[in-house]
Amino acid sequence: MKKFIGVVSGVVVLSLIVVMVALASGGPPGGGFYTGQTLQNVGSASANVVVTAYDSATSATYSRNYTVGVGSSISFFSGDITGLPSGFQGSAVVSSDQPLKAIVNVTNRQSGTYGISGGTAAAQYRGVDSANTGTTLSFPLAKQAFGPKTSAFYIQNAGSANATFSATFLMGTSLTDPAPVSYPYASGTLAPGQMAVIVPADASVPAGRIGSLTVTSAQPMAGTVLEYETTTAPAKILQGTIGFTSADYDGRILFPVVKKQLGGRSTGLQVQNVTGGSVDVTMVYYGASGACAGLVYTETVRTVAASASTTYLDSALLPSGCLASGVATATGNIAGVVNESFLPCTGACVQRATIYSAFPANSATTKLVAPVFKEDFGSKRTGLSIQNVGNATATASVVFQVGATTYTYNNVSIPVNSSFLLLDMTNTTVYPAANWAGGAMPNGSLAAVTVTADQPIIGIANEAPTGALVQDNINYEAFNVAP
Amino acid sequence: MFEILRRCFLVYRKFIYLMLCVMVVLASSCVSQPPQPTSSPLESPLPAVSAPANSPIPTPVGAVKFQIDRPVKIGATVVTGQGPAGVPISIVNVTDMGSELGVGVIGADSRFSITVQPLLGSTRIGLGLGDLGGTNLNAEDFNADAYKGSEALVVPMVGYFQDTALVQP
Repeated sequence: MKKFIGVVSGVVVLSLIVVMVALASGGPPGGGFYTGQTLQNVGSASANVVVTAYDSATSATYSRNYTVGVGSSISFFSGDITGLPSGFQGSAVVSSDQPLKAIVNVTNRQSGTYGISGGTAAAQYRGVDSANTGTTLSFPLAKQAFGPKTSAFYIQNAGSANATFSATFLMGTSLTDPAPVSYPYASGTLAPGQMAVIVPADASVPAGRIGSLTVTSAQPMAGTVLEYETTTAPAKILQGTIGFTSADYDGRILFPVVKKQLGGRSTGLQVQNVTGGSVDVTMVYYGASGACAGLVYTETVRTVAASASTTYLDSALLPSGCLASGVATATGNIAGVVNESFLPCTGACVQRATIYSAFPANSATTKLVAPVFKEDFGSKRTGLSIQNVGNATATASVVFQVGATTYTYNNVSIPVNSSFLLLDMTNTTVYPAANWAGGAMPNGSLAAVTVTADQPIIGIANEAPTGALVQDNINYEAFNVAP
Repeated sequence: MFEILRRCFLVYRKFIYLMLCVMVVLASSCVSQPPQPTSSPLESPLPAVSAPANSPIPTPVGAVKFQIDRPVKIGATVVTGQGPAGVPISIVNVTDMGSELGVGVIGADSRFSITVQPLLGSTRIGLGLGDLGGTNLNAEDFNADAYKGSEALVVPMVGYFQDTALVQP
């Protein structure tokens, strides 16, 4: 039995909606998923954080206090909450007297008493700030037994009163189906903070369908989507991201990482029309490296119906071996996600898949934070790709906060529309010692990262296993914050 | 002259074949290669490694499929169905993240009838394995497809259900 996540609001208390579900939720072959949360203090003073776990079966609550230094981060699992009984299943609320950013890590990889033998699935998504909820949620990508994949949507009442929500799946039989069909679903009543999970089958969507989902309610909602394979036991891959609200909409959205057969990996870009009428979408790719370096490609304009989405997968315009960024502009507001995997993945290939949200151009700022950065920590390595979306070359500095120790890497220069990659930071050939202040960050570090630039930037953090560890890739969108 | 050449060829033919092979290999290595993909910022710097192979799940003889009887109606207080005899099961509300509605054990006739809290509309109920403690059963015993109901479903962070059903008006 599991419940939901409450929302606490107040003048100085910031609550984050983070899913913290259960020890050993579900059994084989597809269960065993658990979550870990990382919080970063992006305020100007030390944060007093209270994590409160709510038992779904009783009215019992359990709390643990943390103090998080400026720019620092902490991680916790359900088992870290003092007094939590064995077998606890429930949810959590995180409150703080300073602004926080949160990353939720979902996996079924076995670790101690968590997970399931043979599980390698993993995903990350951003915790939803209670200030960033909305009465409309847009999910550009939904799947119902489309190939081996299905999407599950976790919708939470983030308001202060009971509410229902309406969900409309707009689904076709292919990526380019010109006549997708609408499948409605009406929820039951959700109390404040309560969460419901829906799958397309709940709206009678037939198997073999792909499309989009739009959720509306009279109360503000928060949403997360997890995409997974239903045919593997235990689960091997998982992809997660959050639903878009109006704060995430823009007529111009940015895709920092687009691939076509780059090291076997390709990306599918979904652009959803989040308006009530048709819009025309123009996608432009800017070659970054590989076979398309320095080149610009423009797709034919596509007309997208209200609430529908369109997909750009392995564009015929791009050469194989291409790493690019993408910019979609439209005659109305749009939102987008990027789905990345080995394509095809046959024979000895072990699939690893990720998904990330496109960035509305109006969200870019000159400062971003990434709460989780692993420098060969726990056999994991993070790459943080920072893209300059301004109109002049950007100069940036990067602060890695490891516990109470700070390591600063300076003199990062990023040309317009280009990206700079922070990966394997102990490589002095790529990251010269002279650019470090306070010495280079050592291997084995778990850092919270803050990047400050003189141009607007955006970022994607990707984590992959190293050595013999087998795990799905995971990524999340770095948070843009006010300078 | 021709005969001399023929005899030389027969004597040295193995050497000639070897040299031809060497020439072919050298020539192929000199041919321009297609552009190689550069390293990707979102790609692991290390090669992918093989996942442990899944053990094939044997198909049990005479397995009884877990199945919730349809239709499942709003307001119902009993859920019936079938499954392997003697297996503890639970009926949960999948939609609200897995709250338990009722528990029971499948009878010797492979049927079950479980009293539940009144079922709500717009929800999907799930049939999952119950507490197997105190039995000689293992959850893995029921992984085979032969046990899966027509709407078996895994929902990350909620669980795996041998069968599910949408509650109907």
